[in-house]
Amino acid sequence: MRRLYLYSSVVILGLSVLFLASCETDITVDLPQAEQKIVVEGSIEPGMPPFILLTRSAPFFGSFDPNNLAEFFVRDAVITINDGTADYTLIELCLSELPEEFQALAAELLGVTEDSLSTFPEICLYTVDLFGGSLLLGQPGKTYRVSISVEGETLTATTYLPFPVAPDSIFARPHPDPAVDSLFRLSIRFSDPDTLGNYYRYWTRRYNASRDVDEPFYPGVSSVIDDLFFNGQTVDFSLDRGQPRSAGFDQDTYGFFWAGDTVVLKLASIDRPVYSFWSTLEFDAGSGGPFSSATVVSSNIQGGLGVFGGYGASYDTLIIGE
Amino acid sequence: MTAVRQGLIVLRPIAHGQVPASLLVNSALLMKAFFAVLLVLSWLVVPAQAQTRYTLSGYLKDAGSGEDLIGASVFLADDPGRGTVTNLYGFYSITLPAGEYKVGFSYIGYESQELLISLQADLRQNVSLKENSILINELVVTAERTDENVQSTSMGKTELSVEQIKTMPAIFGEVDILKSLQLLPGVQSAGEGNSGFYVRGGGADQNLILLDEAVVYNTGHLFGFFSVFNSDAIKNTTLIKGGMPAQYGGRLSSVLDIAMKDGNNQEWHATGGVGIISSRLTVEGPLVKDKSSIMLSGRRTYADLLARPFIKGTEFEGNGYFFYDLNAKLNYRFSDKDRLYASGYFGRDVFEFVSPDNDFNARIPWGNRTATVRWNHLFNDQLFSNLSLVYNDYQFEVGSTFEDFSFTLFSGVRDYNAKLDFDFFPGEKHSMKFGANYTFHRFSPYSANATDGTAEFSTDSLNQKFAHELALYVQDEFDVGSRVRVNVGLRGTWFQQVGPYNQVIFDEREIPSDTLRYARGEKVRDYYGLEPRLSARYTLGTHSSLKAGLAYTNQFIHLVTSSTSTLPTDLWVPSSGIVEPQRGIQYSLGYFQNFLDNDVETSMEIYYKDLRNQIEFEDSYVPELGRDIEESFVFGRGRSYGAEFLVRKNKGPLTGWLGYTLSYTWRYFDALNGGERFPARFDRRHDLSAVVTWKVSSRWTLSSIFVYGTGQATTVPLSFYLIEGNLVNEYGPRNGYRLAPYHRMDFSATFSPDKRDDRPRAFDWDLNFSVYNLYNRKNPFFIYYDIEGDAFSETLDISAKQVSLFPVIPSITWNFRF
Repeated sequence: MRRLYLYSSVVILGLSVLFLASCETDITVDLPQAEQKIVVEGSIEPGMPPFILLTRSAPFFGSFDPNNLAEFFVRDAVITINDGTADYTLIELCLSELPEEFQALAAELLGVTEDSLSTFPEICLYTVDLFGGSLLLGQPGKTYRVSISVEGETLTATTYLPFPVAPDSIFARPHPDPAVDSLFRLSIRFSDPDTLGNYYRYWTRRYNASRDVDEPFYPGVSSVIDDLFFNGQTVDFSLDRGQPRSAGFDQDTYGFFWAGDTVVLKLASIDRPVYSFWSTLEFDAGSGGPFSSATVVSSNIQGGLGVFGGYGASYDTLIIGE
Repeated sequence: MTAVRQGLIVLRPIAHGQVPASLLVNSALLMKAFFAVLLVLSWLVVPAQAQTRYTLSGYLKDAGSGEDLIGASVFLADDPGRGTVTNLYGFYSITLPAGEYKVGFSYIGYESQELLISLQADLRQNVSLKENSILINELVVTAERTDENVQSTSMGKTELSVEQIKTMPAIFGEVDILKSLQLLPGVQSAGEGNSGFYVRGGGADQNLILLDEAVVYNTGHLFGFFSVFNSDAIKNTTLIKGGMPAQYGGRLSSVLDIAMKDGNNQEWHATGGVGIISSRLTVEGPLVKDKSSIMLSGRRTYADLLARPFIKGTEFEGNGYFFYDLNAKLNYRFSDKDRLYASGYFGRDVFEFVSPDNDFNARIPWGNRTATVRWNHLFNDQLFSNLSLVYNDYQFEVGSTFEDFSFTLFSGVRDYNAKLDFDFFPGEKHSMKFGANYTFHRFSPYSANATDGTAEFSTDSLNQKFAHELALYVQDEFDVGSRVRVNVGLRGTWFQQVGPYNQVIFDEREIPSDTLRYARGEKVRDYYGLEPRLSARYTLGTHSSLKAGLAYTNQFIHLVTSSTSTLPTDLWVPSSGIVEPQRGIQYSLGYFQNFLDNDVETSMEIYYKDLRNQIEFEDSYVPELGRDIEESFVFGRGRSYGAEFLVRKNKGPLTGWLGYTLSYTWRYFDALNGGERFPARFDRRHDLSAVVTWKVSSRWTLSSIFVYGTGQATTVPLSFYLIEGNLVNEYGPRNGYRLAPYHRMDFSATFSPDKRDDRPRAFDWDLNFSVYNLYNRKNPFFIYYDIEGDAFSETLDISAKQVSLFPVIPSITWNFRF
């Protein structure tokens, strides 16, 4: 199901190339000034503190200067999170101050490897006080409300942290062409709970010392799953290898893992608004051209953009080809 | 009324599982109302007959082929204002006081005839007209052509003959009726090279497109770049943009009525053509001379065959695409009173892809099928009837496998339709039409099956939808005094969605919580509509008139598209508990003036349209196979208004037209664009087309087209933000950005060998040279932002690109006939 969009883009690509003697020219678009909005990228997972990254939107053709990335991040926000019983105030913590065990999550939010964090400019994110006070850690089954006050604006969001559903097993499936013995698909056997409305998001992480590979958690190109088609059933299905969006589509290796890869699968239960956020975002990113129209990313943030999501995550590790 | 209503309620439990019962009650109700209206109308209008009157009636035919002539004029030569036109089957009837008349018969492109008729009893007079073979500067006019455009009550109605279209330039040399229609004021193209069209600010689904009375749901091949209508098989095309007469309904914007050729009932002929991307062949001839004929026509593209050697060994090897059309028609004339027609269309597009290593393959066929059986019966000289039985369907399929993942998808719509129409000609200045039209629809939204390893996924739980649609109509055209002619009509419609149907109920978290089940034939929801239609003509002078029109329309089936083009994946959906019928009203006003002996026609029309229950996808729509598509709709209102100007020259060596449209098309949706009004994507402020055809000599015909249109409205992202390090679009106002204006000039030259005399040659041919986009204008097809690099590595580079589709394209087509 997830790969359907991929297929249609392949088909349309084929058609376009075959039939359309199209030509491309650079143009200048005269766009009206857009209102700058605050963007929330936040998560809470079981046993983990919440992390929130505040950035702002920037005009496509305008002031954004990649050399001055720090300007992109929003500082001095007052953020509180309510877990249904108490309010917690978040503090601003810059990358260098972040304890090592939380670096991976920060890297995930930024979409970069943990190693490259050190080369990052001094940017900051918001979390609960990790060094003292009353620590807020995610608890499945709870609903979290966040309220953000910054630069005269108030943003709010609510998310439910669902219970994790771990796969029954994860295993490698050989390439359908027996001649290709170095590539494998990641498959899972999965028992879906007997209620409709379960949504999931997954990421994969890959190490392979012999190939000099150490990737962070990358979400699948189509990273979210709806249980409508297998509600309450035990099913086997494959998950494509996560990759950076800029990596493109390599026909021969897309989705596959290599023999010897150590794969960590992160599979998280999510609620419907979080599912909608990622599905609309990925759909809009994957479309374009004459045959599609603008898909507005569905956000659960009132007063801003982005997502604050509860991820009921479980982790499994597999060494491919063993 | 109340009694019947109660009857309806009492019957409901019985009707459970028995569709016809409720159907009959509803029809009976509508019928009653209609016959009442019918009676009143005929009583009101039939004048007291002081003199003995007789009826002159018959068929108008092409002398060479025996084809019926549709919309040909029959008039009194001494008083051209008095007359009638032939109907869809070439039949005319006019009732006049006893006496001697000089009667003219004329049709565009044919030599007119005049007959001296002594009307002392009802008279049947079939007339055959000869095709014009006028040589340059030798105009032969045997009778004055009537100024039908000025005299009739119809507004916004245009006929295009295939002959006219054939000399015009065409992209890849493919003559296309729908693209030619786009050159008329008020009709807009759905995009560069696209055969889809929008009429007066209405959506693509608001055009009723009929091929021999069968609805054609998807008119495009290859994403709409070519229409499904093979011009060799087509006889006549009529487009009604406004003031839709009551005989038509079910769509808000326009009617495009296309008649296939009947086939030559005099002698066998073959016509065909060889072009750069496709070839055509049509064979027609008499089965029994004068009584029965047959026509078979086919067309196939061969781009896939041509491309195969070039893509061999490349990564595009395995790509294949072609389309084909087949048209067939058979008719038998039992007598002057009875005639039977059977016609059919079958067309398919097939796209295939096989990746070189055979990992991924896909086969995607789609297309329409229609079959029509019609029986014309003449009850008497004044009452003509036609019974049609129509089957039509549109299907779209995907079959694909990718390694161990396989996927099939099916969607489509299928109709069974029965139609009974009467033409009644009670007097010289009075004609009526009435009839009934019933359709049983079956809609198949996406039904998908997928296998991934051992897991199987199926949407079988997502049901098809079924519906009844019934319409009864009556329309009456009559003169009031010498200057005013009125066409008044009423159409009553009833639509009912019936089971089997499972309606999924969602809770506040948008999670399916319950299912409402309807049994087979059980009513899910029904809708009624009463549609008054009115058009009137007021004669100002001998060659000028003023017209006004008013039309209420209801549309019960809808096509909602998320794309900026018309695509084979677009789905038709019925009105239901969630989707209410689209309702529209159009007011129009026109001034018509002819000059130079009706050689030059001019018109100016203004219109205002109010459209309710318009449908769009919600802002954040993502196709979800597991959800009923209705759940993703939002509803709003549309408004459009504009003015259309046309100058058209029909006779002589130099013909053509100049059309200009000024229009505004707005949409108002609470759930879109923050509740602010926004332009429809086909909102086009200025639209200009010029068409010139010059018959230079008996050998050469030159033709040229120029079009100019305001740029397409589109939604573009104004700003971006970062999520997981990736750029995400933040869109500006809906359709708030205009692409660059569209303009283009085409040119064609047609050469045909010299004819020594008037007689048709045993083997006739012509060669058409066509140049599309003569000055190589880079018209925008779409724009996109090219994003390179990465926000976090100081390499981000964003640029805007415009993609243009067709550069200058020369083509050559060879046409033959023997």
